[in-house]
Amino acid sequence: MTSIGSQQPVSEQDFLEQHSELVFNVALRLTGNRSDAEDLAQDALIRALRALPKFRGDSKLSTWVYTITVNTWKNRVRAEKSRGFWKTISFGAFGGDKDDDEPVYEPNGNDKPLDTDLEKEGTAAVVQKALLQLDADDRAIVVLREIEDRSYGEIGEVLGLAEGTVKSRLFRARAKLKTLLKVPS
Amino acid sequence: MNDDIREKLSAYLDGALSDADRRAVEVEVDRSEELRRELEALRAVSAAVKGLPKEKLPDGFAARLESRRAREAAAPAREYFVLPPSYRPLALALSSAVVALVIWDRTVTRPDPVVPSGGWDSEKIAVKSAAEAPASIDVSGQLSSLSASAESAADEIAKKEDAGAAAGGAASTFGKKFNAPGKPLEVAEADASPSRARAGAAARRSARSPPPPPPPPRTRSKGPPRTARFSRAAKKSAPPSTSVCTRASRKRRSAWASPRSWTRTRRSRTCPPAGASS
Repeated sequence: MTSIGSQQPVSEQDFLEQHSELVFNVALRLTGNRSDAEDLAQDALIRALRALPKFRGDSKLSTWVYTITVNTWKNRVRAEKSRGFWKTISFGAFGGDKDDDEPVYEPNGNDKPLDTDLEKEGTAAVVQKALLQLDADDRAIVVLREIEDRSYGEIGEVLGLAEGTVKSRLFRARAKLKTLLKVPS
Repeated sequence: MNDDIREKLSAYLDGALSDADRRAVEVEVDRSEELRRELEALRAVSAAVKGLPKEKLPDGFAARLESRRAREAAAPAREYFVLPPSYRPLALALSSAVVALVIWDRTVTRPDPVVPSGGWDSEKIAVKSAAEAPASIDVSGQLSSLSASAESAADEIAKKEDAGAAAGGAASTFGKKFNAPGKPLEVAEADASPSRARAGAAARRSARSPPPPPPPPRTRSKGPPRTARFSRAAKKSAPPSTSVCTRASRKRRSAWASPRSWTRTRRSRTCPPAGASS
């Protein structure tokens, strides 16, 4: 049983029951596939459980959990990028060694519309594919705003950004999604 | 349509604008067909993302989480990549010391050996063995001749100074002409030519005090000469090598002078190139 600031004590069991699904869904939208999402969710929940006794209740527990989840994911993205960089350095000069396990969350810089067939893939898959084209912070902003319905202030708290920055980055991310999803304007 | 209005459209969609901004955006949207279409497009994007389904936890998630927790609790997490945190200050200190040593070695300049204008005479400087090396080298003769030449130079300067004092009328006229009234003449002269004044003062000092006695001659009385003592051959117990600047050593040193190793380039200066001795 862990006392959380001025809030009611939360047992590990209660914490997991309340937050596991939330963490898994955020992880799913950030990573784009279920197996990576489960791995990320487990990692984030273990970290959260380890840090739960130190939680002082300065923010909402859900905000704190989002923060841990997003930071765990960003660390992985960074590690993947670094791994990709060293692979490029190692093999690029010797004719290239095509990477089989390319990270699914590698941001792609172009804004060309996705070449997808809506009927074959379904709207959800197309939207998910478009989300994966956003860079890490923008994707986290869109997920927290659109899927988790968090306020600009809370998103800023999770990502360590100013509210104005969240606003402008959300606008940019939406504009990019509009292009990727071929939404006419 | 500028980005400021479009950004406000995005915030308008989220209900994150102040009342004044919200009314301003509504007025703009009413007026502009383009803004209206833009707002609808943003609304469609938002709805598409919001439409992503909420997923249930995979079967067995809780059990896998528990087993992973148990595994991680049994084996302490390795949160470092190469070194444990307690070793990091030591590694940092060692690497800093190496960097400092390299920088010091590259920046500190060592004096080059003085090479005579005609080059080294290999016949004279060659030492065939440590046993044949002279016990001492007497350089007192050279030092006393140097001292004598310094004394003659000082006398010459003193004579010139006296000649300058004899022609003081012209100099005082010069000083009075360009000096403020009442200002001492010497100051004007010093201002006009400080180097000449310094030379005069040095000459006066040397004339007043007798020249210092020559320093005792430097001798090398212990062991073989430096060149032989520090050569590679001298370190071995076998009979010492024949010469400091043999053909082989020249070849070796010219190889050292190649840009492959900057540290060795400096050493190559101790041996003149082939043909310099003639």
